[in-house]
Amino acid sequence: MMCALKPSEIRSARAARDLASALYLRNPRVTLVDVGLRITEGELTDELAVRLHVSQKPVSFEFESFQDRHPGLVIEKERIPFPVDIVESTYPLQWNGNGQQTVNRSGIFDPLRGGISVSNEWFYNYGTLGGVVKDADTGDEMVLSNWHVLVGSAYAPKGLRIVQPGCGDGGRPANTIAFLERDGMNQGIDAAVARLNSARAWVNDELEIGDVADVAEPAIGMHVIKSGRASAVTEGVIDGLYGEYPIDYGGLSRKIKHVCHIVPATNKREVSRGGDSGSWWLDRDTHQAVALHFAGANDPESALAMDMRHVFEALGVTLIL
Amino acid sequence: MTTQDAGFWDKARRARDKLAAQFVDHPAVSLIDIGTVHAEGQRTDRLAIRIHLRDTWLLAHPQHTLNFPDQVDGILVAVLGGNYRLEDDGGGAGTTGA
Repeated sequence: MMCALKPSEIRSARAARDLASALYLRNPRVTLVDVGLRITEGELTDELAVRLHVSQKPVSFEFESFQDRHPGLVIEKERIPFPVDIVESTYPLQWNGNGQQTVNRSGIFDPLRGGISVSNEWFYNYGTLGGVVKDADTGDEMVLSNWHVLVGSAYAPKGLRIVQPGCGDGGRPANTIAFLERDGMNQGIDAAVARLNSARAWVNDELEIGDVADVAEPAIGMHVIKSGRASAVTEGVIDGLYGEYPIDYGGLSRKIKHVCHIVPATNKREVSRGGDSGSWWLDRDTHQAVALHFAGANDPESALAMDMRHVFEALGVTLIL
Repeated sequence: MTTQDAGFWDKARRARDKLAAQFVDHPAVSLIDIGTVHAEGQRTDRLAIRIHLRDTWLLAHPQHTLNFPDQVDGILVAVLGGNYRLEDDGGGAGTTGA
């Protein structure tokens, strides 16, 4: 069998999805209409289907009873000119990460710690300050985050000011906490460090999680947590390793290496959001840092992060314990 | 956690390298990794080389057909969606997924 995707088939599926949406999206049972692979007996198939996600999917005699009581709520598959899959699932709104953002992460923090807003002085945005590390040679204290948070341009000079909170959260030059030092982009690592000035104290801590114990190897099936500027504390499970991620940084092609793929720990929960870049994924059970977050997707919900051992190696830093 | 012996991982990584050399520069491909196959939102213990695809690109190029082998050196190949983007608040400072 070949795994093949034919755009013409996807087009037909989308047209059928539009029809299904028109027919059933106002049905109170229906939580989502999309296009995806059919799942049969718990296994993904290679058959594309229009999927109607419903809050409850009665089967067998329960369906017959449901059909008698609510004939207007029954989904008639034959009205949709494409294979149809009925999926039982609900998608609650998640306005604040997992609904538990109890701390304002966009403010000024003293001491500094992981999980708070940061950026350089050039870009009106913010990412997450991942944590504090030290130069493996000199012992100088540094903050670590993504290249696209602390650098963001091939023209960013060493010594560029790093502000906390990030400019997108109101940070100004007066909020300078560090100066850009170096990055790992030449090694396929979207990470950078900036040397701390003495403006503020710091602690080895991820906001609302606690101390970082060490650096460890990520593993498939490992439950991980992170503290991010945008989605606060979220949990996921590593389900992929050794990833290679091609990306275009303003016309410059790069491949990000050593990528871990993280999915929600529980069904349909958010793992990350724009603004979480730079946060550290920790082994939930040991609080060892295993990966540096840098990207995500919403459909399906998932996150990408780089193996922290390679991040530290590329940057020439160690954890401060 | 899913456990496999070192021999499996060496073989899987070599197979992933072969597949990456062939496909990672394709504009529809967003990630190639080794991971578990999911079914109905649940993780299974089956491991595969996974090709993550940007369906946005595929939909914009309707004449394009992608064919991947179903396995490489005995390692299963799975295809899944993945429209990843950088997660700073600006979606990346002048950056986009390739």
